[in-house]
Amino acid sequence: MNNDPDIEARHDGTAAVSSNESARRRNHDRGARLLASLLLLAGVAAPATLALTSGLIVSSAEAQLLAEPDRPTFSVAERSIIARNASLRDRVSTEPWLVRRVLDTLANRTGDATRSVLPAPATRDLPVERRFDTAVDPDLGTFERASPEAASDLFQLIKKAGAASQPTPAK
Amino acid sequence: MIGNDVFSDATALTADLDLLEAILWSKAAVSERLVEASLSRDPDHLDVLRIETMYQFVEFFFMLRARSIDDVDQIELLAGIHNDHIVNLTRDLEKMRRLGLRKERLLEAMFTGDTLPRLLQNWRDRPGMIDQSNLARFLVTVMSTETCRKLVMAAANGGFLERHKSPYGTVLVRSTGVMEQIFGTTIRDLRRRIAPA
Repeated sequence: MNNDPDIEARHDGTAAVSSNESARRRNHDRGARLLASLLLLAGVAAPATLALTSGLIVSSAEAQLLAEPDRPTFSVAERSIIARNASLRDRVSTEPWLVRRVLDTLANRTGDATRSVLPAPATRDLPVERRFDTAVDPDLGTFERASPEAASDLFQLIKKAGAASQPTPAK
Repeated sequence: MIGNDVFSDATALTADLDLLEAILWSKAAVSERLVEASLSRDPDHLDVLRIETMYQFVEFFFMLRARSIDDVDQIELLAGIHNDHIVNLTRDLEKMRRLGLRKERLLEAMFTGDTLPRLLQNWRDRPGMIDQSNLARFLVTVMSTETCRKLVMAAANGGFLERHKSPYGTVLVRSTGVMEQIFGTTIRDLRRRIAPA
């Protein structure tokens, strides 16, 4: 029995030392979970898509083919976004429609899918383990928002409005 | 360098931990109480009620009620303060970067000659009624428009918001008051845990 996590059994029964392959798969799975989270938050993911990205039903490529036989097309600008973001880059060949949906969601958010300069997010809507690494997915992080600083600001704005509209108590 | 003096007073540290425990409890309690009160038992809707941003969403409605922002003059005042805040934010590039906001997105969240009259008219027609896009404007710094829309849907499904389309095609929402009660009760429970009467 092999206890080395970097030595994986292949489907054909042979074993191979493949630390790179193992790492690539881990990153691939993590990217799928992130994309599933993103689509869930953005409200564009059908349950089948979520199952597909989570690998719960069948292999993702099989599910993709069953659901949508044709491949989407991507503009030059969209190909640039795909090239910039590792999670999209890793999925585009096996799950092009998932990537298509993510780009559409990005386009809805920014108003323009071809916009190339988006700020790095500081915070999150997602639990910590689901955050995008902005170093490898610079565009996907724009879905993430929420900040204690911003929440505190909002509290102060409403406090100010409330205080200004109420009479000062008599001393 | 931060020293470790904070750990030297065991009594104070125990009190600190009690406070931290109470704060964490309150955040979790808001989620759980929303889920318990939800009219929808659809797991997808309940999952959305549990996400962290829902806390800020409910907090916003609680603050409007607690600060008595209930007539048209007050919502107009709040919109003006919001606009001033947006202008100040757009001048603070470092803060914009910290909060992950773009200038264009912030400017879109300002109340203008087009959007302010709609905000006021809706509030005048029925205090507390707000266009979904105007709600997202107020919440621009704490959540994305998509997240706001998703929370509105979950809150509506849960019976926490009334939601309907206006004759002009916009989506109007108004709190049923339940989520503010849940939030307020939890904050009060928190305060009593920290400082029993």
